[in-house]
Amino acid sequence: MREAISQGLREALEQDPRVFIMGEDVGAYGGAYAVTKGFLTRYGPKRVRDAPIAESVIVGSGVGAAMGGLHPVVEIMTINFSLLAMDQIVNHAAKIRYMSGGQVQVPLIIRTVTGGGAGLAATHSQSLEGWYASVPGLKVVFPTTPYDALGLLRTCFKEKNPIIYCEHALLYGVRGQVPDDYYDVPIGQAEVKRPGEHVSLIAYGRAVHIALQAAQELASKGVQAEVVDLRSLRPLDTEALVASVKRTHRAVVIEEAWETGGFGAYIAYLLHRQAFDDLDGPVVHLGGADVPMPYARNLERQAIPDAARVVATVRENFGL
Amino acid sequence: MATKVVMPQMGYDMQQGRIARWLKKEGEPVQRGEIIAEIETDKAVVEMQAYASGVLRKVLVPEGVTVPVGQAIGVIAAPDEPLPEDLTTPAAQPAAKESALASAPATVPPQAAAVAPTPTTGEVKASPLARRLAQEHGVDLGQVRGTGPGGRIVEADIHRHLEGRQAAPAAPQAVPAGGPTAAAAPAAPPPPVEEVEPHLVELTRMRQAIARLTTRAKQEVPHFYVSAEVDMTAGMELRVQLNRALNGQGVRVSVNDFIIRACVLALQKYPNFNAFYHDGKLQMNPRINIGVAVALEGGQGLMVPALLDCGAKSLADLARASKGLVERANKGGLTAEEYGGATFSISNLGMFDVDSFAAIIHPPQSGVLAVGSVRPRPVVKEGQVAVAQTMHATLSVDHRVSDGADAARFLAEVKRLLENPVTLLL
Repeated sequence: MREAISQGLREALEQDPRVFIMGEDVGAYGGAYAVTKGFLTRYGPKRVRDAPIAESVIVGSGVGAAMGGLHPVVEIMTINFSLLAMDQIVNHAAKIRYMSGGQVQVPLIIRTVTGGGAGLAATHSQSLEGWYASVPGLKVVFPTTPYDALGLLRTCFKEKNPIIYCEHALLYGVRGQVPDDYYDVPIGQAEVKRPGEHVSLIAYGRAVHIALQAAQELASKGVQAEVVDLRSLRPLDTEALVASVKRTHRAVVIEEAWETGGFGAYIAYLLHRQAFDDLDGPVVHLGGADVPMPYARNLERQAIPDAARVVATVRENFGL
Repeated sequence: MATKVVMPQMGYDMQQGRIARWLKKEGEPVQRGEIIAEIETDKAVVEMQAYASGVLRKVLVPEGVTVPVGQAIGVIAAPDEPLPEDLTTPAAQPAAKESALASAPATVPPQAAAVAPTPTTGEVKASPLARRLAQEHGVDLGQVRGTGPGGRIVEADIHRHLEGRQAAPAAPQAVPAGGPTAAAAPAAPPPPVEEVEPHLVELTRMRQAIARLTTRAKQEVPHFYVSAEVDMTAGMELRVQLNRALNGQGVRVSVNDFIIRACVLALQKYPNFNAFYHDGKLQMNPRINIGVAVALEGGQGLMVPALLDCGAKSLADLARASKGLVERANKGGLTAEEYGGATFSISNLGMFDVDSFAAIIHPPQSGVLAVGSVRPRPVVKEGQVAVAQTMHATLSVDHRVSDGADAARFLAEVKRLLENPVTLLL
């Protein structure tokens, strides 16, 4: 996964002189998660810029550069720090094209690391991507495989609008096939990662892998679960989700973010709204516990949905 | 603390309710929110929740009895708590009157929600998919056992039910040898008929109320019928004159108004037909309130609102009052007494080109007069066949109240009055 993202960035740097990378520790250190390792030597300090610890400045200057005709990739080390840049993201990046009547575009990619499970405690383990997914003017993508990571990143570089490109700290090691030939993955298209007929497990980010594990366990009990990966939170592929539920008649929406006000709750609403007569039970929203993320490993495990919880949820709610 | 369970108000116009069924017995534990009884209003049977947890210590009003809103019908308390004396004796007598066949359009005002459980239409818990499948396959959800969470009927239950139905042994089709079919010509097999499952349609509240009350009437009230042909020739002429005289006063006298007036005068002479049968006694009603069967616009159903205090009303008064009554029956705005206060009813299908029909008595009333169309018919007058404007009237009578001879006298009186219509003006 790490290599797929890195490859996408290298391709862009090599093919498009307007592309540059900026963020904390992206240069000399090679990126907090080593995605831009070796980039500084290869592309030089004008294309790979280490920034001060000032997220508002990082995003703000990215917005300005994008308005001026460049295609910046800014890196916010973790989504937790994006709170400092929220005004730049929500009030500037997301609004400028609209408020200028389309005269000015903001082709900006904001790469950021989200999610918990790495023992980084309450302020470094949040999943805030759903907040951004509620903002018109932004796009939010979240790849879960190397194939999607590269395919989506390629599409991001063709975009003229600001995009939040989410990476999960625990997914960098995920392995998978990436074709040598060029391909891309459209933004706004969900994917059935595993077909099944009894229940839809709808997820994004690391929760997709949890859903896949759960589906495997359920299969051993004769329950065929379908795993649907959003890939994009905004725009959301509602049609694919509804289609899946119309096939299976049951759904669990799984995410790491807090259940209260969670993006998954909105998906559950959409499914009730658009597939009501096809449902054999209420859509269940399984999110993270409504607590600041505990540091203690055993408690942290309890706060994030895992495969066993998904299996239990399916069995309790649908009698499967 | 002991809590009184009272007859809830389940609609702005509800004054009384009947205990259709107790779902809890004396001594059984109940949880707040649990359904403890089914209450029959004149609109529907509605579930009633407990508003306290504990044990249903006392059932003060048994099933089948109607009591006014607010009357205590039971007591919920802790298992061994002593009960205050006023909560242990069945209070008051059952409400005397039944209300109209079907009452106001089923609108529930907002405040009703605060005082009464919301009437539930679907008493069966089923998933939307299960409901859809049940409808598609004509499955009665009440016959399906739910295995989902909390007993919810889910998809699998419907499939199981359908499989069970198919597995049921088919009716034997053996034909006795040499029977009629053997003699029949060797017919080609009939073309396959596409099986279309019958589907179920939910009844409106009003339809349910009509179904319930007419069933009860036919089960409990021993009906008999007497009929007569009434010569309306003079009445029709008088009606033309009257309406000419009333021209410009915004009221027209109808044939029905003549019939109402004739019935009022006949009821004054034969008050049994204005009485209610109650537990072996006759309740003689001092007022004459004539129920007028009204088919609601748009086929919504039937109501029998009452014209109150008809005894002292002239023909023109009745005409005015019945016009207003029919309008309000359609728009809503009848008073509670108009809903439920009729003492005798008239059902008129004259406008539909009907010769004659027999109507069902609406309890607790003891009679109803059904009239058909007025039209020219051959009659014998002084040994000659002549043409007259006639109408067939059929009186349905509760045999507990009156016998055939009484009924014949009553009907003859109605006929005499209608055939001598000047008497209706007195």
